[in-house]
Amino acid sequence: MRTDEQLRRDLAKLQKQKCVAFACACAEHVLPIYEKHFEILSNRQQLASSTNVRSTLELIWRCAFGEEVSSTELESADAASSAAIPRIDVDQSVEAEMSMAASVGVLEALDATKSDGAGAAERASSNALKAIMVACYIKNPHLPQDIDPIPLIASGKLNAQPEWEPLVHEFEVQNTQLDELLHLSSNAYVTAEWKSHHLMHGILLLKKLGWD
Amino acid sequence: MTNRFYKACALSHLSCLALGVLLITTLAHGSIEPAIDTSAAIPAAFIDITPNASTWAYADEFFWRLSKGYCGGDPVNNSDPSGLDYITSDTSGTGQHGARFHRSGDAVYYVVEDGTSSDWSRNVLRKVRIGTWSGENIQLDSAYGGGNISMAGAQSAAERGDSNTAIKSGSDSAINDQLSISGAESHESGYLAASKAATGVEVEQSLMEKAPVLRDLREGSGIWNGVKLFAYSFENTVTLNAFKNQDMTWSAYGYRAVSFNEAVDTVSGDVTRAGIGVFTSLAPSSSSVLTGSFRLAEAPLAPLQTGLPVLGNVSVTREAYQEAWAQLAVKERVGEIQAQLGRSASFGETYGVGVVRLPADSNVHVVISHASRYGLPRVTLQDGELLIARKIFPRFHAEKEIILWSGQADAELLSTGATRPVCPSCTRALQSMDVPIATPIK
Repeated sequence: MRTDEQLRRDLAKLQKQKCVAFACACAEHVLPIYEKHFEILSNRQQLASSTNVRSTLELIWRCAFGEEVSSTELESADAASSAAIPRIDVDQSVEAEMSMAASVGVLEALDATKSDGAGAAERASSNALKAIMVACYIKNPHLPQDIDPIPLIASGKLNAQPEWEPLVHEFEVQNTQLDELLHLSSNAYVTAEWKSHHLMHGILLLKKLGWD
Repeated sequence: MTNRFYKACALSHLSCLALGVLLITTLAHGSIEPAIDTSAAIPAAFIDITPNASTWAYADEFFWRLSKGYCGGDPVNNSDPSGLDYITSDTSGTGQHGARFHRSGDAVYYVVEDGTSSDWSRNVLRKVRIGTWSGENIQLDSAYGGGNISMAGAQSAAERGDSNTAIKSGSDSAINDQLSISGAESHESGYLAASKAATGVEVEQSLMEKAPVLRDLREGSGIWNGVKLFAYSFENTVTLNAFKNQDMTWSAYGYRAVSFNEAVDTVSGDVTRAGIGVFTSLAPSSSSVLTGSFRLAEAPLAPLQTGLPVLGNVSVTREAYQEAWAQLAVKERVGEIQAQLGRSASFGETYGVGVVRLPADSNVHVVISHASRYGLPRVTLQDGELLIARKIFPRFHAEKEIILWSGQADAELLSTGATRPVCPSCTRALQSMDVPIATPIK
């Protein structure tokens, strides 16, 4: 599996629209975690509707498919989504930390449409992993907190431990999708089928976390 | 302010919860050790020109370490058992290279390397002692041949005053004269040259010889990365009492050092202490620098240059210099971390940055804190930076983590900042400790 450095290197090889696609896929995987916990967080922070975040992601997928989306639409979606993402300085619970990481990747995907994309795509990946990592801790409070699981998983050292299975799975999925994007011809866009595939990963992730 | 006081202040201004957690954790684990290994990072951000030394700063084998500033000692061996000062030549063997010196009012010539001239065959020393002739000038009155020793004008002189060593141009001499002299004489040593000329002195060649990393960069990029000294000036060209407000710019890829002198004895003119600091975003450690992984930062330089005159009007200590450095380092690192955080910074993800002076070595270290309970920081730490274990005080603000950690480590907190505006509670705690906050407050 890719280390951070390898991820960065490979993302730099991608065309912008593929960076957007990668960021969207990463966000797509973990958005169900956010949606699952939105109601609790919304009660605490008076957040706007979680559907705004989902709608924004759908909008960015259109960019990834090669469709024209106006900057006005993107800005509007940005504002609507931002109002629905929890602030972890307001709500310092671990659930808020998890949900913020699980939703902010959508905004990174949005940023990927504006910039060269690689940096934002990397952050979308990082946020997805962070969300799942915190979810693993929530589900398994006994897990040691004095380790840094992400690099350990990247190097294959935690992969046999069932508690980390969702995180290992996400690592593998991200690796696979990046491989696919790297092999896609330079002018090609991802397809709706490719998107659906990653939607399924999100559903599977909830199952792995026992939150379906 | 003592570390003990800092610690006391830190504790006094933390919430009861903080204290409670601290006590509980302490009871559970015994004394809390900072989760860092400080032994590997011994930055040497300064050189000190110690009292009674002459005023030349010496760039040692690894210039960026600047671990030792001395003037006038044997620049070849980096120490001078005899306690004498020398000017050296890097010429060797038989050849047409030479320089000769004489003391003012004294006909004795000291010859630096010459294999042919009978006139210059006396006292072939390859290095000329200058340290014992207090009160007299040692003049380089002639040079001949090719090689590294050259002199452009008869007025050039290598001169030493009572309390200052300097290689400077004669009163009517152009700066190039001095450059020729210093370039030759200091070829092996990396002496820093000084001049009364407004344009200052460039000693790129000599320092480049002793800065392999810089040389590598130069070769790699094809860009000359020299070291420039500028704005040196002497108060008095006769007595050479002091130089003031001098800046030294290390212009290699924005790597810059600034030096200033301090505590000039107005009676004797002795420069009792001076410092040269290497500015990077991190407190450089020998290991990080030697691998070439240090980061070259231009960003802090502008505000520093603005700030220096303020510092220069007072007797600036090494500590004050470190504190000025700390402010800049915190600002810079916070800016970089913010950029790395991306959108999550807008939703409360926060990192704290502090600069501490550790009691073990009195050097400064950059520390990074993260309030999150889980996972690695999602920012890239620079070599030499210390990650404060987030698990020690989970859920505290990043700034308070730094405060508490500093107390535990008995470190003096020089400056702090965070990637979001510092909250009122942390602001009060820091201000009550007289710790400057380098980033915006809420």
